[in-house]
Amino acid sequence: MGERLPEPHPLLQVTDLSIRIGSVGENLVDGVSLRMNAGETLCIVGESGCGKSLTALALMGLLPTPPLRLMSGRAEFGGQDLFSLSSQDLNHIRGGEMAMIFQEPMTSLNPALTIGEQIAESVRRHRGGTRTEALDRALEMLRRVRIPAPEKRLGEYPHQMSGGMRQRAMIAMALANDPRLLIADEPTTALDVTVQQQVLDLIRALQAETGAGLVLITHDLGVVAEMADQVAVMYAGRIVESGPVAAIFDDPQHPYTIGLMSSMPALGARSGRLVTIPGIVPPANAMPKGCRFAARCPFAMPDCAKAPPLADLGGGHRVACWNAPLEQAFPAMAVAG
Amino acid sequence: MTAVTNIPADAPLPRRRSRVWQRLRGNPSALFGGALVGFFLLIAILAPILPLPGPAATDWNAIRKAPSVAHWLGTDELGRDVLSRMVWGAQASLLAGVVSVAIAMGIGIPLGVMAGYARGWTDAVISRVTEALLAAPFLILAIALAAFLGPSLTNAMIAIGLSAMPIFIRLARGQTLQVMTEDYMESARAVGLGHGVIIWRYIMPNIFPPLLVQATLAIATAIITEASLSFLGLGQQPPAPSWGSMLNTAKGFLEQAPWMALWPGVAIFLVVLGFNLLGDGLRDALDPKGS
Repeated sequence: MGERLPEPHPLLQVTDLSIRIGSVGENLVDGVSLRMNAGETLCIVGESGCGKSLTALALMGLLPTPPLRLMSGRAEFGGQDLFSLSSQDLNHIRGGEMAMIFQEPMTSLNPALTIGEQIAESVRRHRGGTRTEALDRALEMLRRVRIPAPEKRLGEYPHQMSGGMRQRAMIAMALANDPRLLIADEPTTALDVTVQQQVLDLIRALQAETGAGLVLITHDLGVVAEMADQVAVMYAGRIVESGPVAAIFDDPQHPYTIGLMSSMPALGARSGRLVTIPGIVPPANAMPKGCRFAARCPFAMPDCAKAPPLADLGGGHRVACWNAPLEQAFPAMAVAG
Repeated sequence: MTAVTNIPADAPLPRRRSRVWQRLRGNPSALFGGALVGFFLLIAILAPILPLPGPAATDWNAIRKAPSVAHWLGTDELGRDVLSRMVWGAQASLLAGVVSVAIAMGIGIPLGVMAGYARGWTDAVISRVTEALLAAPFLILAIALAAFLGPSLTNAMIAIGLSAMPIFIRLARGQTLQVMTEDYMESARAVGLGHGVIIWRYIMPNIFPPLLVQATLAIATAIITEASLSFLGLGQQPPAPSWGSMLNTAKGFLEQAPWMALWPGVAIFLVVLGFNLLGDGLRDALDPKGS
């Protein structure tokens, strides 16, 4: 593993995070380490059930425990270990310095409160002040997320708004207290394609405005290419490849990442079937011992019975594969590539 | 999104409350129930100013007289005006119904929400006690408590309230557990809201509709129970009027003066029917799956 001097003051540094369900079996999230600097966008990519949402929930202290258990790990955010905070201190950070946007805008807002009251509740929790001041701030936030007629929307209930509008309201609520870190768990998955783009543009614009770091969880490589500075690819609870977005897209090294890239439909290429990765993700109660991708991997070999470490290939590009770099293991690929 | 900007700023907006009200208005039996309840409420409130003889004023010249122009509903065995006693009895019945349900909700809802919100041993203790209380039949429990507390209308209300409390604990707990699994609870925690705000602003408003329906139906049960307790001498004490105690007296004169039993019986029937119809209507109107 290549030694690198740690950059000063990362905004968020997660080390060896493991999460398990119950007390027996394999870890659902296994030894995940992440690092991001202020103002950066880190995309966590992977298919459903790979542990990306669990990782996000753990950072927010929102893991349902039990049945889930935090087995190991540290998460340093602004010099504090998130996992050792009291629930009071955690409540202080949540929604204040660190905020989250959820996947389901249709159900993530309280149907009994108006949009304005909901945003104001969060503002008052973290900034204090009067109800009127908090509502003023809510109005300002609705304006900033470009909701039309914000004065009117302030007094409306969630059921009176469309999905895209509600997601904007969620973003307004998340950013109301100027967080330094925003975690967005599939923020556009439940939205129409046209609205998806608007919401992504909005998040990016607001991020540029506020300088907040963004952890964006998605399964959409198109979104990753558009938004990310850093990428972490997760498979079956582990990070299999991570690095700067350019390195991951130009030179994917892990067979899973390569499979993901080639299964993306391209505009114009109509001939032939879409490439798929054979096999399925191993179920949580039957995780293989070594490399968890080995059973589906075209390059699998006997060594894969041992779990490969996340090795640095240079420039922060890390891969957990015994064959990496592939060009050395399979010289023919370098020629073909 | 573009359509939104075209709506004039003063356009009337659909609101949840008005939708419920519209559904309620379109339901004839709920309206009938509401009218019955409203009628009895009105006469109970107006009791002191109606031009009637006092409910305890006896007239030895008019004992067990059939309904007439002077006494519209007849007189009882002491010559008291049955209409006047009915009107004042409505006050006792409705007061008993409302106050006892208020007691049941006031204790039951906080306990139920606490059990559903805190889970763990808090839930275990509250739930086991609730189940033990529910194991005793409602009326038997109320009679036992009323007998223990001593006969009076106030004690009857307390007894009925405590007997009805476990229903509200169980309902509030179940509703809280359900609301706790909603996505918006997660987002409430994600913005760092404290327990107080979560309970008052996120749980209470969302569990309220089914509790309101239960309250309406519970008032009907409480009125019957108050009448039963008064019939047994454990509620309203003579000479103060109560429909239940009027029935008790009337049972000795069924052949000579059937009107003494008829009116309280009809009144209990109608007011209980009214609350039940209103409760059913409210349940349909508040049901999000309804048409």
